[in-house]
Amino acid sequence: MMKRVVFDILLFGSVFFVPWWGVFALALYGAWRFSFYYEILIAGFCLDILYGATGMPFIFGFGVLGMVCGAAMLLVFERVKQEVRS
Amino acid sequence: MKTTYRRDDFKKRFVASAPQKRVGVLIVLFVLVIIMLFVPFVRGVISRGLYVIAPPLWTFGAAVGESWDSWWGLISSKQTLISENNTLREELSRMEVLVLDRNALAEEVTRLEETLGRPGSDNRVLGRVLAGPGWSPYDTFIIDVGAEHGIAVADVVVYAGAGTIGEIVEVYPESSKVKLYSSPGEENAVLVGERLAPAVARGRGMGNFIVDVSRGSVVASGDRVVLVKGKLTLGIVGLVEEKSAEPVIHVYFRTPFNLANVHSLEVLVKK
Repeated sequence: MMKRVVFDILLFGSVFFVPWWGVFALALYGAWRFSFYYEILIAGFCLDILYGATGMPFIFGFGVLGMVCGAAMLLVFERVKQEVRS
Repeated sequence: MKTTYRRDDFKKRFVASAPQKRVGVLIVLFVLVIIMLFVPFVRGVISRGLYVIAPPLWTFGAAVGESWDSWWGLISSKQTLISENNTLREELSRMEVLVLDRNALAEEVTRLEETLGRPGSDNRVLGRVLAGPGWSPYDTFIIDVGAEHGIAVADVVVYAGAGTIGEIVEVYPESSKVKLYSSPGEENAVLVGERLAPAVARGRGMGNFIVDVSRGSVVASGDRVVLVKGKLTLGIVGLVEEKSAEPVIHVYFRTPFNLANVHSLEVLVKK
């Protein structure tokens, strides 16, 4: 539990201090390492709010790249973990 | 006859399994986040909250980065530093000459505007870049000037005093967000080349654009592309692609500077 909290702090801090590909790499590791790591959805949301803007050519004209990637990563990893670890 | 059910049968029939629960939670979370993103009031509150803590964190990160660069410079080989110093001095001299020429032109324009009774129409506010396109998957800059400095939404942002780069899209008390004209899907009216052929430029991300002009237009690599709004330089033509089967010429151009090296921007504040 403590490891997850520490990793959460690292992940949310990386949104401010690390380029997006670094956040992506951390999120990948978190999704693999922890069970149902929904925090990547929140990190993706923070990324979209901080750096995205209205009028961007994504869903309904607003950037949702971080959140959509986070959700996709979570679903894929949960499925893969289920298959690999069962 | 009394019918009894085993408890685990009940659970299998009426209680969702752990994976199903998780997918349910994920869907609820996703919908909640979508609502937070698209309901203006909720998004505004969350944005303002994040932008209270974000600028100091970015400033701290930049300070740490500069300290690291200084320390690294100390332990770099002396010869490398001397060589870099000489290259930079040469570049600086060249830039000083270009600036003199530009300053002379700017003075002439100001004098002509005053003669015609049209004094200079913009105030410029200098902002330091807190985060840029390389930092996020979006084509945006975050700068350290905001509403308290007179910045407003739709103010034009320029680099190096002349090349336009984007517009302000979000304003906070002490910071603001700039959306680049080169953002994927952005369209802007431009004038291409020496003959100022009108066209619409489409952004392709990271300072790159594409514009289609009619066949027969005189456009060559190195020509300037000017934004109709404000008559500011948007980019320099890099490649002209002509295909015999098409009635248009594809012109690829990009900003005349590297976006990754932009550390400060000027906002043209409306008077």
